[in-house]
Amino acid sequence: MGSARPTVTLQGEPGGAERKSAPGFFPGIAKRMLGRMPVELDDKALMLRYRDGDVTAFEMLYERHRGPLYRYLLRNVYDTGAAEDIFQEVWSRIVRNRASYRPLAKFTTYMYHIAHNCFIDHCRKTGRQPATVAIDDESAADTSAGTDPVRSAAVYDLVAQLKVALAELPAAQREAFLLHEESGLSLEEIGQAMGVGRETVKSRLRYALAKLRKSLPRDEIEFMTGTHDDR
Amino acid sequence: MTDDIKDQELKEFLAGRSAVSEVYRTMDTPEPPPALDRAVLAEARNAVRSSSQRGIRWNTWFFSATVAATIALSITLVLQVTTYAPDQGIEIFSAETVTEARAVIFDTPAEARLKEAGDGEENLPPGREVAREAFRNEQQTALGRTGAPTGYAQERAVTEPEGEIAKRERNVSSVSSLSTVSLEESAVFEDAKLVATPEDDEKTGSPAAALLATKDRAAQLVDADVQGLGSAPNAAGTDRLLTSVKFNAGAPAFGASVASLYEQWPAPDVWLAGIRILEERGETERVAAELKKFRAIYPDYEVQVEPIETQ
Repeated sequence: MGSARPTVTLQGEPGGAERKSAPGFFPGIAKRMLGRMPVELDDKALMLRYRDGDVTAFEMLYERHRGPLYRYLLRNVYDTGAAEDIFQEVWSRIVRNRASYRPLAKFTTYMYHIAHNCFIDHCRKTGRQPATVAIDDESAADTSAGTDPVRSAAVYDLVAQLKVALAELPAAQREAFLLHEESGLSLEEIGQAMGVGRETVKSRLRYALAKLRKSLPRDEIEFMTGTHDDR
Repeated sequence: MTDDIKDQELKEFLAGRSAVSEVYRTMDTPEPPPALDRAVLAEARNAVRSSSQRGIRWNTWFFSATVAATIALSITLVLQVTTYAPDQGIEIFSAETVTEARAVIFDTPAEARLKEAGDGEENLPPGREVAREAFRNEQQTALGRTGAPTGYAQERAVTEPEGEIAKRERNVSSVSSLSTVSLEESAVFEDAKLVATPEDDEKTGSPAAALLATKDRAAQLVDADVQGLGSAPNAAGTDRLLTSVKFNAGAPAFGASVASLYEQWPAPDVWLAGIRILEERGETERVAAELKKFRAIYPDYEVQVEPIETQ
């Protein structure tokens, strides 16, 4: 991997994937927590411990999901202020409803279902569909990934075009795409979070992928990924 | 064909190998601002803290309520034990109770009690003989009398409120099932007048006014004699008797005694002690009669005198 960042394998996370810990976020607290608590504790166990009054469990849970949730919201509403409001509301609901939490599904499904509802509430409250394009809200790309200026420029262009394409997607398709990309939810889990069926999610993702793929220049993708795509 | 391409794309996307996913992952990863992190974590901590404080407050309230309930129950229990402990049986009668019971069942209770009080024979009022006669009659007839005097109802209507009459009639009716004394007859007896006559004045050498001083005692004697096992009437009962009953020689004295019978039942422990004494004397018929009366008057009182009933 070649990365200096510590990695933690989390059970209950999508595909058992390795995820980067948030750089610089509560390094001391995280260290203490990881030292006290076995890292194998999955989200459900942490939530149950928090339900029983263990604040440290909540801190771990928060650290795991704060980034993906924030990005999911930010790239849905394209408004930093609104994203922060919804973000806080989502966690407030989790805190308030902790006593009634039942580990019937994955915690991520539970959390993104709340996030989806908050997002819908926000759209109803503001009386508008999610913003179309607001690329300036974010810096275009993580250019620290490479040192080649030509490659960095290509990546920058691709990311910019992807953002535009993402913003132009219908809200439902974009949400389905973001739920998988940010949280790694499966088709069924995305359906649970959004309150729709598996086939609906599948259809939305197909359309979303087709549009996004279409928006990206093929040669630039091949150049960036170093692969040749026949399609 | 297009659907196949889309399916393949979807599979790659779900597996994390899609080109779109790769581009997406190169995007920057914005994080929530630290202030937002602090706000969320503070809310989570406060929620846990406040719920624990609610638990503490509830525990405090529950503890106080428990202490109060315990104290209340203890007081109630102590009062119950204090009140009912003497009623557990006739074997725990005090010496005073037994003495009193012995006095009231004495063959000549009037004389015995007067002697206990230090009064001489010469001070007995003329009504004493009346009381003795009434007692004998009662024993002989076992409260079975008929042919009540008449005219009492009009007097009662004048002198007593209706509620009082109804109350007395209820009392009498509860007893009438045991004895043959009818309701009407009992009420007549109650209202019978005891009047000092000139003959009495001659016997005692005292005027009728002086005789009034002995009315209290005379009334008590009547009560005790007629009831047989009756207790000494209490002060209130005596006063009531004095205000409503005039001393008179003759049959009506018995009626007055029977009336007081209904109002002044002996205390249960005294009564039971008397029954025990009767049992010791071997007066089984009287024991049975008294027990029957006792149970009618005190139906809820536990009587542990089974051997008596079997005799």
